Amino acid sequence: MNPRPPSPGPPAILRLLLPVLLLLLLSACGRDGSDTDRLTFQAFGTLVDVTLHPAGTHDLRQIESALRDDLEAMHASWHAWEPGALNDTNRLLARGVGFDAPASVLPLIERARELEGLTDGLFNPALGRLVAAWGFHQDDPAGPPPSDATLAAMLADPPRMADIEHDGTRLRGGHPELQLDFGGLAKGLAVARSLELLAELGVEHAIVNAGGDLMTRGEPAGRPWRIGLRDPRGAGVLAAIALGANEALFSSGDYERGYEWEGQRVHHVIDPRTGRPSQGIASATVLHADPALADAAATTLMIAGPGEWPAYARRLGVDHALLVLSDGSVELTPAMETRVDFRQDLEYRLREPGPATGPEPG
Amino acid sequence: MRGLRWGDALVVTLAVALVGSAFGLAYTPGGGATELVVTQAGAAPRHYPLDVARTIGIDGTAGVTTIRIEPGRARCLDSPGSQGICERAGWLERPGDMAVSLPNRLVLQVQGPGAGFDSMHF
Repeated sequence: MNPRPPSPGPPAILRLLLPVLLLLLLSACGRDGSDTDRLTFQAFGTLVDVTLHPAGTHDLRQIESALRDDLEAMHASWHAWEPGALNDTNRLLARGVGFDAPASVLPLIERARELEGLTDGLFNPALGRLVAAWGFHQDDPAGPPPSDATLAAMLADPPRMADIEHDGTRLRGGHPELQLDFGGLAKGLAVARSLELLAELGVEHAIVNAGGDLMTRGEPAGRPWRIGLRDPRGAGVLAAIALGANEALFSSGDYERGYEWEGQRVHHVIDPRTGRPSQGIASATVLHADPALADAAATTLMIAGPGEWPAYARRLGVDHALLVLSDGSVELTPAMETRVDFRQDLEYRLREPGPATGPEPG
Repeated sequence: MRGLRWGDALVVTLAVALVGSAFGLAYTPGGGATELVVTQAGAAPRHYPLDVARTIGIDGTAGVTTIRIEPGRARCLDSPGSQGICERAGWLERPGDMAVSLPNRLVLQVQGPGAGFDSMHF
């Protein structure tokens, strides 16, 4: 009896195909969103959410403790109305005497001067008294709003950052009404500092999110960071935004801090031109590599309004911006369009950063 | 060279179908929210399945946040704070939808099949 010939094995195509399919199957198995760890804690007067990649490789307790301590120290130094270094600085500036600036406050003053210059005063952190007059220098903002006469007096000769004489670390206030409020800038610098701290702790891939404003460090292997942009009108997710390494996403909106007064919503972003809450834009979102600039630019674009925001975007070197106007319509730059995946059925208008296109509508 | 036998063809067909369905499940967004994740500063995240209608209360530093859960969705019914930000978020229905109560240091986020977000911007 002849023995049966040995089996030739599976055909070559099958030997090639099966391992490839097996690899594809394994790659699908890894897609469960669990390649990150999250930390959530209270600091800097807000909720801080830190995302770390890859999962399971960091000392979460050490990271949370270090970040919280650092953020709380910055919050105490930079608070606009509670005792601290900024409070001391404001007191000495109002006296008009020369003094050595606290080291924690000087970087804010220097960035604020630069940004006030770039925006020709539309971003003006020297107007703390005006913000306070609207009832925002307290934990729970409240009216009454300032009278027309009070506003007229405050706007007759408003203080600017240029009123601070600055020689090295020596400062002297040159305007009795000058009061610093870094509400549109401090969080940007705080997030930048937190990312530096994460780098010192050996973290290579992370997001630091402070009260909704965030910046990335590095990015996960093989994919961008996936950021959900909450609808400023409150209902769910407006869009998904893909972020790469070392990119900041900051927003300013009329929904953040405010109160109702005689049936009207009074929000915290004050327009230096009118002395009143800005109008026309519900929220401004800016993507930029510099978190302090992104923070200040978001405030500036919101103040600038629907007619002028592209001009101020260009002044500030902002290519990526998304605006939700007060009527609910959406405008964004072409560069931002490439990053955004809208999750709602909506129409939007593309506008290039550039010169103003005419008077503000409405 | 010998061609594919019927058994080989069956194996390849089944393998392709298995891989295809795995990718379908893993990468296709869609499907509604299946659970609510409540993240509170200083505490481990808590997970609540969005199956049976019920109302829950979460104690926070400023008071109680009351949350209504219904099949496939959840919303913040009442929460401390003068601005009503948490309540105004409305029903959280799609994976990724979220509401925040800053006074109570709470983040409510619904999750479900498909890729979630690494972080929420607001």
